[in-house]
Amino acid sequence: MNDIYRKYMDIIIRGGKIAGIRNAADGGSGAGQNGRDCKTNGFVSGNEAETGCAERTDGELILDAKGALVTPGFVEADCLAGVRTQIYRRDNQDADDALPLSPSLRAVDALDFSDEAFAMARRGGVTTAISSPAKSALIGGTCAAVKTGGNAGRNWILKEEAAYQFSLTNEPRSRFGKKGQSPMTRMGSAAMIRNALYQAREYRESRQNGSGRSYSLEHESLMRVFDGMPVKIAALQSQDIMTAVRIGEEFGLNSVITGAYDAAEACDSLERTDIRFVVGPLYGGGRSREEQNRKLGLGGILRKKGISFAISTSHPSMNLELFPCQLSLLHQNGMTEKELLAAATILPARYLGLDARIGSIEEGKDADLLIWDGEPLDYYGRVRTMVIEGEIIDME
Amino acid sequence: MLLIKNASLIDMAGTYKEKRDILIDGGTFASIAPQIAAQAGYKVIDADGRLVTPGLIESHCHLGMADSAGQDINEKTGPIHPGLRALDAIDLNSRDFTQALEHGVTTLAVGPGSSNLIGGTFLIIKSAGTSAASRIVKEEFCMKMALGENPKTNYGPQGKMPATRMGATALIRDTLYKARDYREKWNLHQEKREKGESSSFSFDLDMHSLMRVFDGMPVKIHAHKANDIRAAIRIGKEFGLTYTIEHCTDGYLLLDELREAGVLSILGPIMGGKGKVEVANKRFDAPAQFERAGVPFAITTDSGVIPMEGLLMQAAVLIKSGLSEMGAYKGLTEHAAKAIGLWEQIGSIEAGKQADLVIWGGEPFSSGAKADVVLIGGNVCYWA
Repeated sequence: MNDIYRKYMDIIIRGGKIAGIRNAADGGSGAGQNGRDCKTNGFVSGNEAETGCAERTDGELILDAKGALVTPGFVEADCLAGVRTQIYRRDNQDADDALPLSPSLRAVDALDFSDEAFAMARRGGVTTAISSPAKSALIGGTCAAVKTGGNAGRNWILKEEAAYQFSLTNEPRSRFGKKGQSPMTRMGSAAMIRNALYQAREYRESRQNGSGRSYSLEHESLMRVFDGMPVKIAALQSQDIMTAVRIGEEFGLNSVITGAYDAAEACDSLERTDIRFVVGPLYGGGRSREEQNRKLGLGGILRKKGISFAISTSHPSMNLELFPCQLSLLHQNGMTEKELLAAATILPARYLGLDARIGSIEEGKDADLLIWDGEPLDYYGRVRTMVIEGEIIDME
Repeated sequence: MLLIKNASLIDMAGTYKEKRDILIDGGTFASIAPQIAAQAGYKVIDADGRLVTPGLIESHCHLGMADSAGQDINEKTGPIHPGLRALDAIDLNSRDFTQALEHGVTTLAVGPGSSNLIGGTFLIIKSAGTSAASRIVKEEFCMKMALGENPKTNYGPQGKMPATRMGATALIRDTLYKARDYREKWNLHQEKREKGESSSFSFDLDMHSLMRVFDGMPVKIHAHKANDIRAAIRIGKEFGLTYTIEHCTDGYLLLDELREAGVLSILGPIMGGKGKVEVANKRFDAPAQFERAGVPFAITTDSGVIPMEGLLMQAAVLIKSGLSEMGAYKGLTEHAAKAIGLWEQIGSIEAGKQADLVIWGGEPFSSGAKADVVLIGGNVCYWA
């Protein structure tokens, strides 16, 4: 997912990583005309097992994609997989804790790998998911980056604390305001977040100056945002997006705005196109003011304005299994295939600071790949083979 | 007279993608033939080889009932509310119906949700039309009932019945017994009055509404899990109800029992994840399993659980998981029409039926499909 687009290539995988990419040895099969050549990959040595794979004695993995399309695994930047789980959601409520500010909470401490959401993710072509606490708190805690399969069901954790989760949506205000607690208003939401950041920054300075401030887990956790730890800020309405940008700049945060239904309006008001967004879900529409611009056409609109964004299901809001379906719908509503594949792979990886490992098929990165039957953006396309860190994954 | 020329017709009456011309007289199909000559005064629409199908039918949804502050789908103040009518809540101007139209849906059954054991009545409407009167097909088509987790989680924690499945079915059965008793008393009261005899009667809206299920008013029984599906069949049998089973998520596990009971199930929403224990067995290939076993079913979005944008996508996903294309069409036309008691009027393109028709931009179950032209009762209601 770098400069190679729809070309026949061979991909060499070694030790779970991409070891090399080169022009296909024999040009592959089913070459088309007019730049519609099937792409990639697969390196035939004549030794194919049923899955089309063979392992050479020097440890190289050989997968014959037989001229099929190969893309990086999809990256879901914003979800609650393993935290707000399928089926047992009521018994295992782990997404929403009791306080509006809880910076020391970590989604990694909740992760339930038996959540069917991970199987759904695999069926949807998602190889990495960033799982968070819910957006019902102003600062909910940190998000974990996890691979969605492989490794015999053992540790899938890519990064225990990949990003912070803040929220400027209606959720914290209605949750706490209803009980007569802060935040009740937008002013309250912003003030409480800024106050927490001020205190964390002051704590950090004190500790650096050796001025004997006693240890505080909350401040110790939150102060990492001043060292570049990514911050996801959920904001849907225009003014909430603008507040997110304002706070991000006040504190020099490495922030990305999620949900972002009003992104087009907000960018117009701010007269900027450089704000980073993780947009979605756009499927499903909505009735509230917050969801007014939750529309499939938003992708095309942002693209025309030159605004970059990743695309999310915000599972379970939209189910992870439908990740490619949403891409398909956006394709029908004004976005190109190239843009959509970037929005589903390298952009979310980059925004979450994970692009050294994932998000594109490049030498040195994790071998997380999807070999497709048919086209990814067609309803009837499907992932024929999923590879995570060089391992062929059972998608069920 | 309206003449649709050069359709590639799927009429749900045996014709599959053959070239046909379709003549519409007033609001109904007059004739369908390989060649019909246009005459003076005919309005002509050239389908130009595009696929033409009957208007699609959504047999279970809640559109136009959730637009304003709060929601109007579930009266969560008590588990027994047969006297409620979706008719009184529905917002005919809701954008939901335009979306339905864009995806080829011409008729919808809209009603209360599943928080209540007995939630009130569904109505049947057209997705577009010139007036409220022309849009409402049936003000009160059927009674809604629900088993399973939703009523339990709404009332149990408040210390109210139902807190358990035993409580749910007991309360439903008790209410049905009372309604049957009320009906006898009402009939007796009517007879006496007709004879000029004096008679007094205590009117009860809920009972008056519910007693109609003993005079043929159908019932929709929401049930996901196998135990709830069986309870629905049991209750239907005990009280001689005409009913469909909504969602029927575990249905593929008891196809023989469904077949024996002669039940028409309304399957869906199948996309959208597993938010509760009772849908743990949800499978994309369930409709395919029904089809292979010869057990009939309609397909629903349960909108807004799946939005109308997802109607055709859901059908595509079901086909991808093993359902035949014709099975998908049947689920959205013939069986859906039967599920809402309107197979005589809609669901196929045959002489005498209502002229509800869609001219498609491509294949309905392919990526990006949307309607090009939609006719309801012979009127063009949508033109892309």
